[in-house]
Amino acid sequence: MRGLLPLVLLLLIWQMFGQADSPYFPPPSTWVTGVQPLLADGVLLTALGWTSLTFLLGLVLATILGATLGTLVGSNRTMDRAFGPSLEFLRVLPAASLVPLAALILGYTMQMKLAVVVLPATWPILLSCRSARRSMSPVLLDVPKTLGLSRRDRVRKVLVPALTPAVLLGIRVAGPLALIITLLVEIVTRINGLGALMGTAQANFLSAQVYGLLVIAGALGFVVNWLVTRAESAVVLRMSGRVEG
Amino acid sequence: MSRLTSRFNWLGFSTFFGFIVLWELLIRLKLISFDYVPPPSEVFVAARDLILNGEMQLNLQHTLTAALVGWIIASVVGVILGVLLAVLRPMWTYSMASVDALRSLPIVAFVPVAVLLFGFSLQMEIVLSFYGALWPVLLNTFAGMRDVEPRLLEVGRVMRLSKASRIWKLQLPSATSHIVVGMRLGLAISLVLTLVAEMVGNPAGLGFALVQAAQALQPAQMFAYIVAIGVSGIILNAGLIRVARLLFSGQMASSGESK
Repeated sequence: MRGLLPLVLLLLIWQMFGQADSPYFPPPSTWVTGVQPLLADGVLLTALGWTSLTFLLGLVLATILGATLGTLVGSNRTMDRAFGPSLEFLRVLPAASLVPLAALILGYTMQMKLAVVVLPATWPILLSCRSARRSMSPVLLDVPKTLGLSRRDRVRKVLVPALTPAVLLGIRVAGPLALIITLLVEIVTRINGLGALMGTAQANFLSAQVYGLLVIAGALGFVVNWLVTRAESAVVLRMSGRVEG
Repeated sequence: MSRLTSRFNWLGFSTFFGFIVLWELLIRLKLISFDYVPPPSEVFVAARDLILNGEMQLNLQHTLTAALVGWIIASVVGVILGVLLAVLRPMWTYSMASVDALRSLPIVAFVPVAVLLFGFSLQMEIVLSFYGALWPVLLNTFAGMRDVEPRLLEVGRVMRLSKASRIWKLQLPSATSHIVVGMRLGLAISLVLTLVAEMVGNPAGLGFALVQAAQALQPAQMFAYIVAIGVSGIILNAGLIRVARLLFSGQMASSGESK
């Protein structure tokens, strides 16, 4: 709690010395009134809805894609070496550079937003699953063969429980990343969502609104971070409990 | 596995080129065709033209300058602040929560703020790049400084090193690999933020070139720029690791980072 001192101090000083009509640094009290016009007609809520939807859907798709590809690539040394450089090249491309291209090919649509969000968010999950699959105990992998399990059962009863912690670790990183990319797409393309509101506010020089929206974005980021950490620790706790028992 | 195969990933690179050839064939044979997806040959031609008329170099120079300058300043400031936070306990107790709060703020949300405050300028890009790279460097330096092997600290005590000597000779070298990781992350973030700033505000650099090419319906040019961005990122990253290993080979080796 004491650690919040600098932040609180900064805001207090800003509040005391800032002038309400300053174009660059309106004090925090003006931020609320700055955001108010957006509360009418539920503009802010709709925007938050779009951002959250894109983020969640993108994260889910990224998880499915990353887990599947990661497990596949990790299960076979040859495939790993074969697809390695291609995947690596795709991985280092900054998501921002793909936005104008995606907008050109897919138009200003939800598909475009999702495409841009899913691609970078897949990597942490993919890499985590890949390394977990590679280091899976050969003994554990022999169990389904010994028991004569069907392919489906092998995946469901051996692979999934063994790789779930890796997936969660990947989500821990991919979650905040997905949020950042979502906001990024919205700020650059101004389709919809919180980012679009921020971009519009900045273009209209509504500085109080920009700061107010920044705080909201920060709250969103904080919530996502908190959720992802809690989900991860809750399930990991449960999994290690099961192994002990 | 012969020494040659283990050294260079022929399979991987041929797969990569295989994909490119496949892409070319699919489009040439009209098996797939999207409105704005050109075959690699067109991308190559577009890239060549951009290099010939100097646009590629100009834009690359602008973006890389903004990103790197901000990143270098952020690295220096980040290391200094990280060391201070780790060493001065009161500073740490009274600011960690603030740092955590600021850190969970999506960095890209600062782009509109930066454009608002600094307008459309190179300065705006550098400030944004600085702010984005600061956090990973700071946090990683802090973590590295506190993650020192306890035996090393005992050695320091046995040899009766002064606090300053302990920092300079034990903690900082031990934190080197953490700092390098932080710097790599910072570099990636700087690059992304610079690009976004150019797409949203400053009409210069690779980001702006991408947006312009999109408006002019020139996907081949866009692909060329994207490849350039990707390659720059790879080269910069690899360069950083090389330099770090060269300058700090001892510290990197001890933390398992060496070849």
